[in-house]
Amino acid sequence: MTPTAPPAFPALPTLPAPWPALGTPPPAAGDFDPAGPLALLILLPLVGALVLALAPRPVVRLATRAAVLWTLPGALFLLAAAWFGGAAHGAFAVRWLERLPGGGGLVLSIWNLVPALLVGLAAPLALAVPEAREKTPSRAAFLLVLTAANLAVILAVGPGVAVAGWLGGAWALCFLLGEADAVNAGQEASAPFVLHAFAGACVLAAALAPPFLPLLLVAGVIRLGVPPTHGVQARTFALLPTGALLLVVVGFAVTGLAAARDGVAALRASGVGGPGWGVGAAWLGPLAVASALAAAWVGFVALAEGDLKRRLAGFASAQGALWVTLLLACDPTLARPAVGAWALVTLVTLVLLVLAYAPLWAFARTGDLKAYGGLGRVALVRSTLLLVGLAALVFAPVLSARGAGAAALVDVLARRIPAGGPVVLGGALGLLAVGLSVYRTIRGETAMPLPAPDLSAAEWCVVVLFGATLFLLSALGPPLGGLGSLWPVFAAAGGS
Amino acid sequence: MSTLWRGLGAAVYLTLRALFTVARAVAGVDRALREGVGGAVTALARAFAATIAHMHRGSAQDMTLLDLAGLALLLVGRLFGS
Repeated sequence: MTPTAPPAFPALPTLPAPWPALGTPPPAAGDFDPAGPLALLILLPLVGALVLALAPRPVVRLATRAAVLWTLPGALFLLAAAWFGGAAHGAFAVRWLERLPGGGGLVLSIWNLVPALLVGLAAPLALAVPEAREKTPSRAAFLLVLTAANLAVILAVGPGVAVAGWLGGAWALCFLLGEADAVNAGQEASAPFVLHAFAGACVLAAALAPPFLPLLLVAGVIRLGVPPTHGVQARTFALLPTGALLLVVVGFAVTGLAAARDGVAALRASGVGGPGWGVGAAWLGPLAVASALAAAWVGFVALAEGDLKRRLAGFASAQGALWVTLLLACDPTLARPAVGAWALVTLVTLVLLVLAYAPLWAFARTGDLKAYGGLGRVALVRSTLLLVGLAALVFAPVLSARGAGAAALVDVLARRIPAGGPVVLGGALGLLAVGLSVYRTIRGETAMPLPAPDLSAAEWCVVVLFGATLFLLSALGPPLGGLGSLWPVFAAAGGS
Repeated sequence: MSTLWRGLGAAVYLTLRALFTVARAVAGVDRALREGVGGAVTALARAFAATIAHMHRGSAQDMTLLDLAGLALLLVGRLFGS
């Protein structure tokens, strides 16, 4: 990693065609090194998937159990990069560029370090988390493919790798859902696959022609599960096994938000003389109102759900709609760090909630939660973890980026634009849906019949690991990273 | 003091009940919309898929791979053609 001076940013990012460098100055060709660790971050999981596909029968079980090893080097490399940026040499020291042999390249910098780290850490968790049904070689292989696809999207410096990552992610999701829905011969998997393949097609169209860049907003909306795609997201969450759920929650949210951010930036720029879509900026207001109403709608739908996984999906959809509304309605200087930091806190907390609930999925219907609850009496540490997670979700807008999330909400409310009320209502209802589930799990009526439901040693390791990660990220300091902003380019591009 | 808490509890309970009533109504409309509009879209997509499947005699995995291969060709064209 070569320490460099902070780059100078244009007053408002022009649209360097076509993806994903909105707001970031494209690196000069001479800056690139040959393919190395970044390429390995993507290649190693793919090699692992290939090994699982080709492993002979006597060793396939061992290969499946050891699949997590293919993701550990990447996680450790990203942790080292975060430490390098956060504690050792300053945020702008993290700057790693590699060109790929077939064209295109990869980049790891302060701009994408945090989402890459989130996906990099979620991958080993997804492969190691205990599952209700034993992990099959094909499921482990496609978890590795999904990891590689998400990392490719985040690290891509050009359109080719990013589009390949989006399509690869849809492909992996199709197989993971199909395997989980073996009872119905995978019929439930078709709708999510078609929808996510369509999102990939939108990214492909944006990559092919700059006037189609606003389609990135459509792709982002699909990946975030914003209505009208919330039903598919709920079905996806309900079907997926725990490990795949973790990867989808983190990977799809960060890539979806990045796409939504770029789509909104493209719309905003098209109003000031950008290519095509000359009146694109005029769409921002109506789209913000539509997105806010969608947040309120999906908040109500989440509240009426009877299954915890579906409630989590509804909460994620409501949050996605809320973030898209903030991106559309607020000034980029305010909205971008607010959304980035809020998303970081929310995603880390969702991972903790999913892990805390992993041994309890069998009792995830709300009726079961009431009947078999009582976690507060028999598993104090797990109950505390759930409560801490819930508190983090509630206070996320205040905790992150010096309260930028709360400031953005207040801004939308104070300007009395029609999006204000519905967006706050949607966020609150989504939280209420998750909060009531947690309350029922902890309080309950009778003692829980699950054996040893308190935290195991492995779960303690995860909690400590995430604590250390959050510490490193917070050391990056607002507004440049970690808890300051998930995509700090927002603050830099909009603030100068 | 206890009256205050009791009143507060009753207010929260009534608010939650009202919210759940609205939520169930919204969820009902949402389900109807999904089955109506979503059903029409799904039926259209199924008809399209059936037509493709009729022309292409292979498994669903084959078709997925073919679809991805076609998109990859487009991508390669974009990467090397410009």
